[in-house]
Amino acid sequence: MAAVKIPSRDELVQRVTDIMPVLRANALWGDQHQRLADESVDAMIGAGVLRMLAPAHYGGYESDMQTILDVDILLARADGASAFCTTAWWAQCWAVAHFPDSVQDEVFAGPHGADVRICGTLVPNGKGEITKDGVVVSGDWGFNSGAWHSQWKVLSTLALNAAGEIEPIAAVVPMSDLELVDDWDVAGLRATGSVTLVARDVFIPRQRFQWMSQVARQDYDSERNADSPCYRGPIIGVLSAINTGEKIGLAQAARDAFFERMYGRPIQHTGYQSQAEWPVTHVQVAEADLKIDEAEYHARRLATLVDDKNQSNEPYSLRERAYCRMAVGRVSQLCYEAIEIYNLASGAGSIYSSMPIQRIQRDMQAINVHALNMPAKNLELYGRVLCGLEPNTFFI
Amino acid sequence: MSVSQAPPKEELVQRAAKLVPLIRDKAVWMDENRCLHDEVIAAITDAGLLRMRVPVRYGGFESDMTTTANVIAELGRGDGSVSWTAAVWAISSWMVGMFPDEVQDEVYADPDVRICGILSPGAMCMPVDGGYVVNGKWSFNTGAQQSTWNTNAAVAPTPDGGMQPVMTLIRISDLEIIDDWNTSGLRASGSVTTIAKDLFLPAARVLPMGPVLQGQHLSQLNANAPIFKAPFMPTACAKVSAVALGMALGAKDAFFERLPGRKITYTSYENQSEAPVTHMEVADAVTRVDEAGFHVHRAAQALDTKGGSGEPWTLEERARARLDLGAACQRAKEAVDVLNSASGGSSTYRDVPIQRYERDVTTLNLHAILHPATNLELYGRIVCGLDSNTPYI
Repeated sequence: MAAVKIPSRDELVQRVTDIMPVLRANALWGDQHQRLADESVDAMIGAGVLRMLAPAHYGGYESDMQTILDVDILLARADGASAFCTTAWWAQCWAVAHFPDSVQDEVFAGPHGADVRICGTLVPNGKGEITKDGVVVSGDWGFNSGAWHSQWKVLSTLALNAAGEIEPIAAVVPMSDLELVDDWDVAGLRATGSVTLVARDVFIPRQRFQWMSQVARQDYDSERNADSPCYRGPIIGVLSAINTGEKIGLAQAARDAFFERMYGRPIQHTGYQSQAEWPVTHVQVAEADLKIDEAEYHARRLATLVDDKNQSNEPYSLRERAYCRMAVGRVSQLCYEAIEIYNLASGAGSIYSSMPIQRIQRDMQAINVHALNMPAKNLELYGRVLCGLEPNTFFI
Repeated sequence: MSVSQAPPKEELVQRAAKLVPLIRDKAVWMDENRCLHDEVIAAITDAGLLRMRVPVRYGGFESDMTTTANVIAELGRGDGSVSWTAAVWAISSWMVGMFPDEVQDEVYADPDVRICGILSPGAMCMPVDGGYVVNGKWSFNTGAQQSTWNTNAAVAPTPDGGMQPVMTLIRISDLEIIDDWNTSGLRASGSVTTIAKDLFLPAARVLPMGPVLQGQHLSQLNANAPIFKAPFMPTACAKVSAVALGMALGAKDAFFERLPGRKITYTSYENQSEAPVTHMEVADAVTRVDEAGFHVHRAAQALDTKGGSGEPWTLEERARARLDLGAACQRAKEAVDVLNSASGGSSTYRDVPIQRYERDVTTLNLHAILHPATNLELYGRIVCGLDSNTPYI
């Protein structure tokens, strides 16, 4: 496989900056059609965004988390759904890089190369019957963001392990083996096209599934990626770090949308001719800005933690693992609050579908009810650990 | 005059951290006696912490802002009033560095000199032969009874018949002290009222503030020192923001110290630490403390990065220094409020530290320069394209 020159952080930022107008122009179409526009996906492929966490062996970039964060913020500043799908694809790219090298050959050396899109979710559903040379899986999985543009899916289901216990497995399946149910009729993140996928007695060969206990032990199957800083470390680190930029970018987009309209707007039924001169506005924008800045502080701190661990190969302390979750929750909370301020200060003219701010608010609302983002859950977990209790989830 | 070697940055912070047990030990006494304990002042002096913002040529350290802020925050982990007073001393000892060099020779002759100061112009300077005669009154004069010098804002007539803000440099022994410091918070800061009556000041000890606020000063010898090239308000803001952080860190320590073994009375919880409500509170408060730290360090870094370069500060950068100050105070107060409210009825006793942190951080948040709403409004004005509505930026 030919070695690919990996672009610098600055170059990737420039490339993404260049495609932002395309993503922005297609955002309304995506919201109306409940999926990403082909043009947006193609633009992200062209910029190299979708190969950032693919193995370098196949032309991927194995990017560090600070670069991922830069890119994710810019994507979401243009279109939240594009960023959200990208995060979902990054997560599964990273997951597949821990499967046996022969599986990676199938996934990353196919017609799409390192730009292959793999959708997937973490929640186990359905059931798997272990056979002599694999597993036969049936079930349905909701919330498959980016499924319309994906070639593979990583699914999680439950099967009986060698000890006779029920244990989750993660399996890599081609989309052609699955049925797609177009049930994505939702309030927020509409353009992510997060449809349900169904498997009916799908056979998955042994090398394409992993027991979760093995993943939790960081006992990964890939020999080729074993020493890559990008792929060592627990799933909680990378999965958290790739999951903050989209929120910050959305909040910045709300700020952009607000400031674009603010100067010409009077405060109706008051003497204020310009919203920009209203002292209430000043406190609102300051409050929102400092929340966005604080969100980025947590995101940068988390990215630094994960990048440092990936470089040093040091284990995470329980408190550090809990902070990974806390950072995602707090970024979600702060960005939600910032967007709420800008949205509520935008006047009745802002509720038209063509106005970005109302879409941003709906997207952020959908993000905040996501099981991994929900602030209350992450706060509780972090607080438990700070108080010296054991975590109440395996996902840490 | 011997020029001492400045200790490494980390060591100063560690020295401050080592003082925390002593400071905590004296905190109740100080709260009751409305001044700092002599042993605390002696320990701060011995640790060299009064020299951080004194020119190197007098034996000072010219410490950068990150170090200074971290030291002030560590002292605040011990006690809010100690931290606040140390911040005031650090601001005013820096302010003396704006004065003509011969004035500095007199004041910094002792590099551990304690100089307090007031930013609100509370007096009038009338020009006379060779100087000015000052009359006026300054309230909230932190540490006045435990300082030697005082930098006090005033106004003076200009040749064109107008008025300009000036900074005076006065010996504390020349002022009358009115002990009116009976307050709910920051009690140990001893922020009494001081009065000047027909007090003569040589011209060199009256400094026009307009240029100082714009980052110009009268000292030749400090002209190239990075810390003295920095603008006044961001410098002062970063120092006092660290006080808020220190109080929040102190409250956090105080909360976790009492948590083990505490029940939640009239409920079935045998351990407060096992209640999910506690987990929410703790996570929320600890995160806000971290965020207060982010604001303090961002403000300090802006000074340390731009300090040496001599690059001018944009209005938005100046406003951000004020925003970071307001946000640090706001987040610190939110954190302390959450922890204080979770500390139970027994926490209201005078010898339980958390109630003192709460009184102190509330008082801090009421200060005219530190008040979050004032700072947010100012930053918001600038971001919306309006002018500043204060010269204190």
